[in-house]
Parts: sequence; C-alpha cells; structure tokens
Amino acid sequence: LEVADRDEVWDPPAWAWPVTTILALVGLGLSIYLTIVHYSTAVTLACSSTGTINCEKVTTSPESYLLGRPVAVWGLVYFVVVLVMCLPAAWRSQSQAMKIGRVALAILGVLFVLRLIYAELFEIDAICLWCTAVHAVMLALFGAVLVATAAAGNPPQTAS
Amino acid sequence: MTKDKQAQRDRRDARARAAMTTRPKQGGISGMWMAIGGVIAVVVVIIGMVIYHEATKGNSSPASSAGAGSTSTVPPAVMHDVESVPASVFNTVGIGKQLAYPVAFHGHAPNVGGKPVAAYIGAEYCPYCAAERWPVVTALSRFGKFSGLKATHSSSSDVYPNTQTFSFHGSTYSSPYITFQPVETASNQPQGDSYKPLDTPNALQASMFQTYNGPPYFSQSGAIPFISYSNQYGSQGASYSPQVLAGLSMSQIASALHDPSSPVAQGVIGTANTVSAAVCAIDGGKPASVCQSPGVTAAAKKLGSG
Repeated sequence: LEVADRDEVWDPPAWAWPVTTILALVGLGLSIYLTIVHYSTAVTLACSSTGTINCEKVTTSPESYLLGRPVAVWGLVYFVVVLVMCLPAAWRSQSQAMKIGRVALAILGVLFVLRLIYAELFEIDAICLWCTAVHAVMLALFGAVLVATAAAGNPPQTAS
Repeated sequence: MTKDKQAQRDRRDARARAAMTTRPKQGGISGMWMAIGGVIAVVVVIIGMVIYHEATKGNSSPASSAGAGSTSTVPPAVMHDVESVPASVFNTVGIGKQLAYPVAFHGHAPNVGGKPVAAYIGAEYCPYCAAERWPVVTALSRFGKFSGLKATHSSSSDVYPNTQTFSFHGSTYSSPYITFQPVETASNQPQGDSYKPLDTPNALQASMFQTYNGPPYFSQSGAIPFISYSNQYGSQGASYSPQVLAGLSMSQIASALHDPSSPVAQGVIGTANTVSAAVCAIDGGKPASVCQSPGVTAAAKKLGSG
C-alpha cells in the first residue's frame, strides 16, 4: 500500500470492524476446537479419516507442528491478537503501528496459509476440512483488512 | 488553548472535511486496487497449486519390472493406502493375529536429534523382513512420514518366495517424535553364496544388534529382522505369518489393509498397533490421538510378553 499524506484523515469504512471481528471470532473458534482435539483423547475431529479428506492424517503429521508447538495453538494465538486489532477502538486508532501491524498480520497469516496448503497437497497428500475452514477465514480476513485499510483513505505509511 | 493551536486545529479539520467531501481518496483508490489485486493473487496461487497437484497426481511411474535392479518405485496409490488406514480399522483389528510380541530390554535409551531411536535391521532377500516392513511402515506413518521408499520382494529361492514389500534402502523418515534408523544389509540379488550387500550398520545400530539380538532376549542370535525400540523393547523375526501375503501384489496388500476382517489386516494392522504401542512407550505417549486409541492401548498390554 502506498505512502499517504500524514494529514489525510483515517476513516475506515463502517463495515470494517464488524466484518473483521466476526471473521477473527470464527477463526478463533475453529482454532480452539482444533487445539482441544489435539490435546484431548476424549474428542475426535468430526471429519473423514479416509481418502483425500483425512483430518487425522493432517493434524497428526509432522507438518502440523511449528517450532515444537501444534499449528492449532499458533492459530489460536494468532486469532486472539487479530481479534484485538480488529475491535472498534483498534480500527479507530490513528496509530501507524496499529495500521501497519494489522496489515502485516493479515499478510503473515495468508502466507502461512499458502505454506499449509502446499504441505497438505504435496507433503501430506490429504486435506483437513477444519483446517480448510480456517484457511478460508484467514483469506477472507486478509481481503477485508486490506480493502478496509485502503478504503480508509490513509493507508499505513511505509516511509516518512 | 492558545489561538495558534486553535487555528492549527481548524486548518486540519478543514482539510479533513475537504478530503471527505470534495476530493476523491486517491491513495485509497489505488490502494484499493492493490488490496483487491493482493487477494486475487493469493487465490490464483491457491488455485494454481490445486491444479498442479491434480495434474501431477499419479504421474509417477508405477512399479516396473523392466529394470534390472532389485527395487522400483512404490506406486503412489500403495503409499496412499498405507498412509491413510482409518483409525477405525486400527481400533477394530486391535492386536489382530500375531505370532509374537516385542520383548522387554529396558536398556540404556539412546537419543539422536533429541528423540528416542527406533532401529530396524533386515535385508531385502529376507521373507520375514518383507512381512515385517508392512506393519512398520503402516505404524510409523502415524508418527511421521517416509520418503524414498522403494518396492521390492523377498528372495525367489527362499521360503515365502517373492513376498512383495518395501525396501528401506535409501529412504528417509521424518517425525517430531522419534528417529527411525533402518538398515537393509543386503539386496535380493544373489552374489556368490549370499546376496549383494547394501547398507552397513553404524556404531549405534551395531551395538543394539549385538547387545540385544540374542539370548536371554531371543533364543536365536543375530536373526533378522531385528527391531530395537530405543533399547526398551525389541522384536526378532516376523510378528505375523508371511503366508497371508503370499501371491498378493503390493496394491492388493495395501488395499486389504482397509478391510479389518481380511487376513492381511489381521496380521499387518495388528502388528502395526504393537509397533505403535512400542513407539508410544519410548516417545512419551505422543501423539495422544494414536497412543490413546483403543487399538494401540490393547496392543500396549502385550508389550514385553515376547
């Protein structure tokens, strides 16, 4: 996103906070479910475990770990941070750090989604429907944050 | 508030009102296109990956008998079947029909890469190794991922001739839970009075083999296949009858793994649950989805019974 005049108003569209907050809440809910299933022996994923659609194969694969922690836990942490950054007060904030941070987080999330989809297709050879739902939420969030930030008329400054 | 500050604030408000009412948000419009372009780019990359995956699916050449070598590529469908055995099949089969269970060593547990070590020592010509590799690959695929496995068969001049199986020679295995070190000491190609040599055990593997592969743990010394689960448990020989694999192709064996009532599944999946139980015993019971499953917990009760 391009450099903007510091004096230009920051005016995010009215839909920005409700849409992104709802998406963050949905992503958080999915991540909580995946985390509970990961650590619980009493709960199993409501998902096929045969053929191409195989949640168990994906969630128990080596690729389901990052830096020694389950990806589901990283997703949970991610959506908590995103949720905070998508609350009305955060969207109204004039802070450049908040604006840049929100966009950077959205980009980081979608890049990680691309990595996970690659792993599912080419390394694990199975698709996890619950993970795909999280990916869809992440992509929608990415689009909503970028469009809302651009529509706000004063995109995060990349240079002074 | 001073007059200067009030004037500065008024000018700023005026600029803001002008920006909202009379001047289009130039940065916003071009930024909007960039945002939309970014979303489209991501969607295009995802669609591209899916199309490429579908286009290349199954393009790998299936096992071919044209080559003179002792191994060939494992058909992708076979790997898929082995790696995607449903949890319900593992749990339905339980211990299945096994001839022997791992014995207890309770020795010093080696650690490689911060993980416990499971070592397999066998040979491509060996029919009992041919049988044992099926449950080992099936079980370990629940803890990690193999790559570079080859298709091969046991000796055509030994008992259970030409038993179809995998070869660990040249393969790699990655898992967050254990380090797996397989050794295929010889191929199935005769050379002199024996078979063409392949891998040489390293110091750790040789130590495991010499220390535990004989009395008082087993009646025979030095027999293969030999598996040590971090020197806590181990097995020697085939854990189920290789007869259940007789005359079957790799595809037929892999397909039968999904039928809990088939003799193949009773032998291979039953043993795979025991292999999983042994791995769970050395890796701290991870992952729970495998280690706490009914099939594996049933098999865990047989560990150490020989």
